[in-house]
Amino acid sequence: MKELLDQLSLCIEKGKVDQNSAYPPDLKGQPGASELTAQLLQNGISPNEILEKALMPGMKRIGDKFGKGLAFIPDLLIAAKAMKASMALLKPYFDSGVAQRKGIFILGTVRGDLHDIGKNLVGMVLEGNGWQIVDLGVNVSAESFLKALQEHPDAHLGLSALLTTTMLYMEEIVKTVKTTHPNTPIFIGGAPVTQEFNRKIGADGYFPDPQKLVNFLEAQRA
Amino acid sequence: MRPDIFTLLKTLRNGKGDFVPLMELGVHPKIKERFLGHPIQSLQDEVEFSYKAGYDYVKLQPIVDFNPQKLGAQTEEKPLDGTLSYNWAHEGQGLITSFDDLERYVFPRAEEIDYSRFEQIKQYLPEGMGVIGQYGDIFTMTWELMGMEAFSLALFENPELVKTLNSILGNIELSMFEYMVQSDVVDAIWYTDDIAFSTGLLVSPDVLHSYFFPWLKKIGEMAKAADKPFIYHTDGVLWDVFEDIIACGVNALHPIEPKAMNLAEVKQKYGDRLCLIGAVDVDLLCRGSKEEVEETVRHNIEVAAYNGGYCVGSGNSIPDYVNYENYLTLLNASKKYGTF
Repeated sequence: MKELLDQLSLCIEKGKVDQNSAYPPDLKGQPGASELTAQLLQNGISPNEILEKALMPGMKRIGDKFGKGLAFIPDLLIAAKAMKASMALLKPYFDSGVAQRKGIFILGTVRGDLHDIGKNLVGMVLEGNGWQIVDLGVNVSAESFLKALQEHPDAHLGLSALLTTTMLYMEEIVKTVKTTHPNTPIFIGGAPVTQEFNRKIGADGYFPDPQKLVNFLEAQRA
Repeated sequence: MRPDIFTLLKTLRNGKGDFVPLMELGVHPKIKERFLGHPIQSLQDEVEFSYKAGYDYVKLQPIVDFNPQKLGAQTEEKPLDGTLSYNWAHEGQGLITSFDDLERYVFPRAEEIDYSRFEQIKQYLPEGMGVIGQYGDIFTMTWELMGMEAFSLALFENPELVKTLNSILGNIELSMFEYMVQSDVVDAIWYTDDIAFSTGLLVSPDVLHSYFFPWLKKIGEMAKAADKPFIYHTDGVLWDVFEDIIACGVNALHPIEPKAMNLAEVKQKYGDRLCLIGAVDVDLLCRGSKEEVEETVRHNIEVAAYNGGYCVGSGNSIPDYVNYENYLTLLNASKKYGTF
């Protein structure tokens, strides 16, 4: 089974979605993430084990490469596509409670901003790490974040912005949320965001790439 | 005496004039209007702004519509402080995700491109003011038209679609630069196309060598043949591609985004081969003090202009949300510290 798990992990890292996928060329014709996940489930391997021993390591390797500038947005996206193919088979187990996720992450691009690729990448990497994502989309107000928190009171929050002018709204969101949910961790990211800004507005962390956020969360859980 | 396009051109070619020129890729009309005290409604107004603000050039673009069918245009949503209009990166669902979409899409024809501004501008230019012809985004439009996610996946799963679209867009743009390099009105050309963000390249160097650098090289060759300085704009961290950019014939690089690269370091490593433009952080212009802005301009001139080859400007452009007083400080500091 270890071999199958390692193979699945490689398919995630390299973006091999299924047997019909022509990419990557060196895995052409071989089983992909879909087939290997199905085979593992049929062999009685638990969804949590598949997530922890295959999906997470695969996404971590490509995420770490991305953080070091050795992989790029397209590489993360094709890996995420393979991961989603696997998750589609695991989802019923997580939804029914048979398998457990690590928690819920509410993500949104803040009010006034329509850019979402950064937020989407964070969502994909977090999902590959076992988090359930509630994606509020773009142009999200403080009130919308609060409403989502009322539905998921133990969730973490992730705020994204691409422009200096929209980034400033993060301060209002943090103030609003911390008033009623002082223990909710709030993480921020986006092109103009810095550690200094994170400290200034009282958020709980800024990470320049998704894998660094995942590494931080894993360290907290350890 | 200002304006002085010859000193600007000398600086763009890495020379040193009597002063450090000012340059911006764009200044928002609201900032220009506040500066002038009246709306910007004509080429004359644009020239007046450039002249009074201290720029040695006016930037012109050909007029062309890359989406004449207005496909995917959203209904007008009331902007919140104008910010919802900043949808520069169309990251959502693309308009072209298949060869069928590509076949249905109407691209502008070269003969439809409007160059009338280039013909009209001469009558408004004061003595010493030049014209920079600008356009861009062959690579950016390729991924924008597909949507970033569809483009990214197509690189692996449908590269022929990416190649075909990229080729169509590239050839349209080459025709524009062909006009601009041959125009006796145009003194320099400026190609804009973001290939990086503050922590890295958008895509791998290999992908850039397929869909970006060949076009940059062709435009560089045109500029060189016409003996016109070639300015290239991209945000982001460029250490892995500096040599490739220089090999394409780029004379001047803009904007040296401060969050991505340190101006002094870029000057030290590539200042002998590239004129550098910009490097005053837009976030500083928005949220910093006047003193901080002035000190940044002074420092940038100190580290980058000592042997020429530097123009003062923002680390991207001047949007309407920049603190107006800070923008004025940038202009004034440039004059205060930028005279040799």
